[in-house]
Amino acid sequence: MKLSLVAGIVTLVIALSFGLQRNFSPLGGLFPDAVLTVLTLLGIVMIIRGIREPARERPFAGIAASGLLAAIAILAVWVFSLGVAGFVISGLVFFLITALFLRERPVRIRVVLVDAAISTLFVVGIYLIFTRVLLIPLPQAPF
Amino acid sequence: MNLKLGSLREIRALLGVVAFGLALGVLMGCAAQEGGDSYPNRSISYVIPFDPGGESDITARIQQGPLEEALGVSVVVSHQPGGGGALGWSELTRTEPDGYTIMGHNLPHIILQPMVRDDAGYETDQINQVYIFQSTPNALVVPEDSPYQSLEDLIRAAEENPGSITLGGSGEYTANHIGTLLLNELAGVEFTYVPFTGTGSAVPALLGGQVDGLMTYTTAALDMEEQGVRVLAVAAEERVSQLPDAPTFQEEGYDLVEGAFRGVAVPPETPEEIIQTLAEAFREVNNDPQVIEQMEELGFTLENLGPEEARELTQERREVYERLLEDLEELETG
Amino acid sequence: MLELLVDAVIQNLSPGLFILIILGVIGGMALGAMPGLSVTVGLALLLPITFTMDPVSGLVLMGAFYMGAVYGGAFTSILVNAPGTPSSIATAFDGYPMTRQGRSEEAIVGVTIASVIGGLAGVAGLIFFAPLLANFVLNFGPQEYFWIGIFGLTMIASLAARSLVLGLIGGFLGLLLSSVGVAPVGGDVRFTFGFTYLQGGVPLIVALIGLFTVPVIIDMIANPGARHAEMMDGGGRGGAGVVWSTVRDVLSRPMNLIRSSVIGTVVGALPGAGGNIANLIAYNEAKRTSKRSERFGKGEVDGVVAPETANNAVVGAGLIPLLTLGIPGAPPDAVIYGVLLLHGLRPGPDLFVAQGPLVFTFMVSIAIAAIVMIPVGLIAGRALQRAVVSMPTRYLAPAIVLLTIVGSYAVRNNVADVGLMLLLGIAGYVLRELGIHPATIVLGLVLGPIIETGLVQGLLAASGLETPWTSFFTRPISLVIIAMTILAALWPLWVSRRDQRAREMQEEG
Repeated sequence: MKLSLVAGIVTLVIALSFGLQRNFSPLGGLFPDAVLTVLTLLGIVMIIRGIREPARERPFAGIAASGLLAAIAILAVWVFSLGVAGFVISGLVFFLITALFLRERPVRIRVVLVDAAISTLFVVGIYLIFTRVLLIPLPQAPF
Repeated sequence: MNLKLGSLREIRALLGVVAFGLALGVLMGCAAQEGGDSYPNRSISYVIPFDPGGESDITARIQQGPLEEALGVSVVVSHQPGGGGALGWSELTRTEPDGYTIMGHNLPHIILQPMVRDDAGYETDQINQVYIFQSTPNALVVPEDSPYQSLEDLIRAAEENPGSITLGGSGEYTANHIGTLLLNELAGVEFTYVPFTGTGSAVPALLGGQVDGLMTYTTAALDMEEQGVRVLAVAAEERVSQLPDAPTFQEEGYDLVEGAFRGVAVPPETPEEIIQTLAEAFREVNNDPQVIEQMEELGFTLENLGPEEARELTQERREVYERLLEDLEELETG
Repeated sequence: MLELLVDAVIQNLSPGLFILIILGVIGGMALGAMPGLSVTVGLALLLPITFTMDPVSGLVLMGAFYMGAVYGGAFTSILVNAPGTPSSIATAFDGYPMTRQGRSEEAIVGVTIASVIGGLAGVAGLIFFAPLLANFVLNFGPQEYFWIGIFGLTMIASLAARSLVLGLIGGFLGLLLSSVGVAPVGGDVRFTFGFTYLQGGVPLIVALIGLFTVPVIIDMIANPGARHAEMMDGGGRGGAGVVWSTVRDVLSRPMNLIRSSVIGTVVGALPGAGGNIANLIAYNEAKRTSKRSERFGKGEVDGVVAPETANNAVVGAGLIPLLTLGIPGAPPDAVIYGVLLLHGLRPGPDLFVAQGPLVFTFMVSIAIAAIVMIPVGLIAGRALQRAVVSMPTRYLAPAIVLLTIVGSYAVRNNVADVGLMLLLGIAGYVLRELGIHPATIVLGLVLGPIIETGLVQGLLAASGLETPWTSFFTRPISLVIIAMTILAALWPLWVSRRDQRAREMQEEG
């Protein structure tokens, strides 16, 4: 895969998605316009370089696609559930899921119990430190 | 390295720790459930939509103790900064109107943001004002070595060199900015306004001679007196007690009264009794001798505007700003 | 003055104040290590407590807390690649690689020495050069801040390992991200993609956690075995031997400590720049001048020493504009300013005269807080390090997730920020695979506001001139910074020519 080509195209797409929103006062637009111009030029340079160079290494080499997708999926659902179920519940559930997912040995009931205990320790501990000691509210479950 | 599993004893010990943690949490949760049925019966969250360490935050910390006494429940100060306060205020419009979340608010911010932004996330009327407790009038200051001895000197200079006399201030569409625009209009001159990110960063610009003067707040003017700056005029109706030698703009012949007002607000549709209870509590806090002393030490002017008066003030200022912005727009397009 | 100093030292060693200093340092360290909880938040929490104290105790507690918090920011930087505060961004560049090589203890010890020396240097600057530095920094106007920002951009050359163009793309992506939200001049709301939420912009800490820490988590979950295998490769020595050998090693290159202290003191005294910029500049200068510069970014101890020296020097130096001019240089200073005002102490030249003993006790207490960090850091800091290192990956990974969630949420108490953090993290992961280093994006994000406000304020402030933009090229300090920028930009070229020539010489000889 020609990485430079991809990087150049990604740069141009980002510049375009920002550039389409521009509708500024003269001074408010000075800086973003300058940045967008440079970014566009850099994107073009990368594309030219990508066309001229031979195809090189594959991105994400050395990482199993399944592991990568699982990692992103766990994180995404965890963060999403934060707004729905609050910090404590989402934390308990996903801490446990992550810990079990990363197990090397087969899952037994005893293992689940220990992991559940440790996840409770971490999640409830952090929750109490923040809300009771530092008086900083964390996302609450609406119910 | 790996945690050794298997021994029942260890698991029991772990579960014990967890149970202890849970019990502690439940206990503390119960402790928070103080008082009976009438409002307020649990802790109130006092949200500041700005960064910690700012004037609003320090004010809230001063009020916190006396407010807890007045309301009989604990008050927890937290922050939701972003977008010059807009992020917090748009959150306020989506908050449960139960009186347990109150938020600091500022004039003219809550009037001007919805006016000049396509979508500020809230409307001025949605900010349900409870009380306005302090203000900081604008003050026009110049450095010690400035050639301008009086407001008249400065305005004459601006007449002679339109656009080249610069006045720094805190932020865009703030009381400082609007004050400069109003002065431009009243005196028929053109000062160039240079916005800085907060009062703190405007001060070195004045002391270092990067700008000719500052349209700042009386609090900053008071702090800078030590450095020998001259206060040319104060945009209040009468002279400010901490700066007795500084004339008002009205004394100098310009009808300019402009400044920032700070208060608290609740979500839209909060029951009237709750608003009254809170307003009463803030009135009490504002009459606490220690609070008065601390606020004056910081240079604030105390205000006591209940819900009705706060709304009237807001409406009055809104009309002024609408007209000003319309005139400016005509100027630009015409 | 000597008498005042001696009195101040004696004051500080009285049991009451000394205990406050120890408590302040420990509390500050704990809070500083949490990403998302800024020093300012901690000081604001302390504010009501200080109401009940006499002015000296209140100030001493806050000063110690501030010092401890800046030091604590290094721990999560090193151990899990999550800078606790923006002052420890560059600490992660070499600190985390050291952890992966099983050398985290060495990094922690290095950081401790660095922080103590930097902290002492900053206080020395405050005590002995305050009036001088205060007058100097007043000459910095918007134009100078603009050029400092541009000078900072030359760091891209050393951060971008693979290609300069890719580094520039990362830097400018960061600059672009920094312009999301309300414009500093003009009041426009920019690049919100239709979300009202984005008018608040992209908070630095949220981006930092996303870009630096999320990739670490993804790697841990996707490839759980790798972490321990790597740490074992590094040898994983431990114990008192590491402490002494690291201390000797770091002190054997005093120039690194001196240079970084000076950078931290000067940048810290500037009201418009703070630890977030000082630590990056110090890192870059350390790398530029080091004999082992090719090892930077791969676990070089000088790479953690430089930023941590500079950021602790900022603590004392940041008080220079506050105490002499009444200008709070950074948000934490604003809280300290509030304490002074509430006790009827108005900063300015008179404060030193009328309140000499109080001011000196305060200044000396910050130095003592720096020294207290040695035992606290070596005991509590290394305990934390052992705990994190020995924790199995399957618990460490979700624990770091909790840390990132809490950290990004606590910045503005906003759930949407957690989503933004994750989004930036995944984007950063993909960009990293394309060869764009996340550090270049963060660099742009840090420097963007300085460059933009300097640019537009400079143009407005010079509106008396026929052509306002010429003011950027006529002011003496601006010209000096421009010259430094050109030198910094040409330096890599010169180094590669020198190396080439050296190689040729060797071949000939």
